[in-house]
Amino acid sequence: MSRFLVSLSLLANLFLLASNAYSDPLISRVTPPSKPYHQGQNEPVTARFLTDQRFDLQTTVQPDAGTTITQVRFVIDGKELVKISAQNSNTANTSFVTTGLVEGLKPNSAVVSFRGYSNKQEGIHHLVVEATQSDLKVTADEWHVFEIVGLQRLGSKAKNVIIFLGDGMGATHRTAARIVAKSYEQGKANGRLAMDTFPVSGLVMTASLNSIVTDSSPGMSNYVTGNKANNNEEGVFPDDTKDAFDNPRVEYLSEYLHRIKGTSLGLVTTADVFDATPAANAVHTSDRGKGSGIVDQYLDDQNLTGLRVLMGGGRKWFLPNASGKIEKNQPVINGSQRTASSDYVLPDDLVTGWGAAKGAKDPERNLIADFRSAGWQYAPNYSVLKDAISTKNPPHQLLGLFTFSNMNVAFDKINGRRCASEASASAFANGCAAGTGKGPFGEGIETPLSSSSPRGSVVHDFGFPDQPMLDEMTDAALKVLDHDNDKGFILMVEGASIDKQSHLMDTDRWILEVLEFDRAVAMGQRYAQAHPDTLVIVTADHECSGASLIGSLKVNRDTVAKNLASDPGKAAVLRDKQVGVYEGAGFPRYRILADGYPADTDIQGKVLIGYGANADRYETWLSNPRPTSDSQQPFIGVEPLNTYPAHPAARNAENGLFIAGQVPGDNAVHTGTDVPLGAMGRGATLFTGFFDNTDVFFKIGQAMLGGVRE
Amino acid sequence: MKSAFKSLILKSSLTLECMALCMSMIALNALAAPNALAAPSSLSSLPPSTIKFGDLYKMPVGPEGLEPSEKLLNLANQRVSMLGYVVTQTPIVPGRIILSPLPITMDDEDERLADDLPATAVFVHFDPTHEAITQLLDHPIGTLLKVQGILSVGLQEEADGRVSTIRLTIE
Repeated sequence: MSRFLVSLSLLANLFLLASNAYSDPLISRVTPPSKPYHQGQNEPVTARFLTDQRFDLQTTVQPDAGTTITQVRFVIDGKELVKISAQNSNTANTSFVTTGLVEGLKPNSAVVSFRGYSNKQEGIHHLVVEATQSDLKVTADEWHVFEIVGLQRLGSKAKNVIIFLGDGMGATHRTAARIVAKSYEQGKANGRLAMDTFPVSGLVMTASLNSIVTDSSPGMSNYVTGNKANNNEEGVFPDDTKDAFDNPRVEYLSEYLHRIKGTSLGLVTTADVFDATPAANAVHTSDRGKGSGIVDQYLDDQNLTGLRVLMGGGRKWFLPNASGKIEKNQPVINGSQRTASSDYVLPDDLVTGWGAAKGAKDPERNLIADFRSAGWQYAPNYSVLKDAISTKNPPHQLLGLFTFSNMNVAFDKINGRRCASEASASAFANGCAAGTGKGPFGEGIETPLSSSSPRGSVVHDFGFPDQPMLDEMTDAALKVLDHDNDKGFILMVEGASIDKQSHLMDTDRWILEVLEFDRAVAMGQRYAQAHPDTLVIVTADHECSGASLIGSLKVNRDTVAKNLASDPGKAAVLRDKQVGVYEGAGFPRYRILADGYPADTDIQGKVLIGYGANADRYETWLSNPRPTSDSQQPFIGVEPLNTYPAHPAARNAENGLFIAGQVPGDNAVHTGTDVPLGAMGRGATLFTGFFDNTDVFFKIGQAMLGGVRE
Repeated sequence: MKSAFKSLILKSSLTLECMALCMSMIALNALAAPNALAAPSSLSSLPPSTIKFGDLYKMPVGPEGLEPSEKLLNLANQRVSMLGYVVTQTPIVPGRIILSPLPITMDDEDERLADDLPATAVFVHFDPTHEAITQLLDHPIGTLLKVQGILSVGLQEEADGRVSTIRLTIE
């Protein structure tokens, strides 16, 4: 239907609506969300879909006191799609839910759904919801529209797409990493990061459905659904029920392409795999914290997503929670964090409408065993991962769970590797006592909470000494996905702790995270060069911390240490005598070792970062030998991890320069600033200019389904 | 420095209050005063065994998850003494506190289960009608507590949906 005709239809319906304006029942929500035309918009603001992309229709209706809702009709472009009555409510792909609703609704309110709708007709569509209550009063909400976006039929299509997602990575993060890795002379960079060399660049607006500042759930979800989601929600629209897994869904890129052309999916992250970014490619939930249900659905719905690679941390969600179980005369203890309350069971209409697994509240489930039974190979560490992909026939499906929660960061993983080698340990000024293999931090001390024992490197402290780097994980993922790859794949690779370390304002750690991420990008770049039918995108879901490159350190490490000792906390020394700005910043020059990372992050002239979205912190400008605590780790707080700073306001509190935060809480926050995007390979030219994060979905769709002129 | 000092003052004032209220069951001490950690008179004639967070599991972590230490298993169902930080939790769970090896605040309203509770946390159960202990639920972050109770091990889902591995039950 043309927009002109839609407008005429809307005008005609104005008269109808006028008569219903003061009628009950009240239709308080219509999904998919759109900004009504009568607010002066000429275009639908939010809901857009590709041809035949699935999504749910849903409405919340609140009746007059003493009445109930008896019937709801969904009408599209003047034709009745479905009539759902309270009597025969929960059949096939429809539901009429009156229990388990959020507070604040009128008594007898109903949430009524039609699951798995799709439309092949390009253009604007007019959605009317009509509700009838038991006293026969009828109300219609006639102002909602959605758009089916047409694709141009052009030339060659992209077969594969690789999305590199630097979580929280703004322009400053990239600049700082470039300066550290490549250095500058006479105002020019001596080299480029891999992500700098992508031929096409764009700038992305990152807002979510309900905020100018997104979190990582909609930050990722918006890229791969084409629609805005609320903060903390992924792959769904908001609703008025309490259940975190019954929200109205919108089909992911992975599901859409797998359904249409059998595409495979790979998810690689340095975070816990249940974390928002990986989950927002495959799992539909309004609560990003529902770990058990999220990881269960990775496996249960692999037939919907085509998931073949899942790598990162998060082993604790995959272990059976055998409450009270005794084996070999001992209680089962494995650190499982699986719970019934974080698990999922889907309503029948969702199961029918989407062909999704029903699910079960089964904290006792051994998900690693279930993955193995389904044909997946499991790698608990880098040694096993290397072995798995070293053959000519890599596994068809690969599960890597390298830590209990988030993986350790590059700074600490590299330190651990260097510490294990006498030769490299002696070359790493940040690192180890040469040749001891014990790590840089000296002997352990007795504390009230722990026994005394020698400390090792950070990865040993955490109990996971053999973790892969992100580029090694990316290489493994590409080998698995490329094997028998006749239908193409989507691979999402996340540098998760760019964000997490930016939250903590741990400058050296997030800079090395960007370097690690860029080495993974280079891996994807090489793959695309060898496979020109591949599209590669590198971007971020949002910026984190308001990072700004303010200058460089004017003095050397020893002088900083002396100043910290003699004038602890004094701005007159720690700031005024040490922070070089403008020409005082000069051009930092780091020494990069063969492993690709700096030998020493505490050089004279090191890059200094200020934070515009900061929480309280104490700054020394030197690298922190121990990371700020990630308390989801199993041994956090146990010696030696109990000596790790609990949060930025506790780190260096004894001698650092106090910098008052501008935001509440003990972490820096995400910002609403735009983020850069780079593209290479087939379809890259679509990504130039300035666009919304939801536009990325349609550009990928154009590249993979419509094709591009080359 | 500023926040650590503030925390210490709060802990010290609570220490005095608690020592007066619940001497027979719980000893409470400030982190900065480890020498003052002597346990109170025990309910039992036998002194409780002491176990620390660092004694609970084997390292490194195995492919199939955590593995309990011999010491932990040997102390199961016995009276033990353990020192840890009381987790600040909203909402409060009556009759239960959580001991953690580091100070933590959890707000279930905002974060639900994606929070910062370490896997080594120990869940402490007590009679919810016991007024003196219940007052501990309203505590400042950083409260360090020494608890004596009967140690039980094994995975168990708690009333709020969390999973406990190790529990102490105050008699």
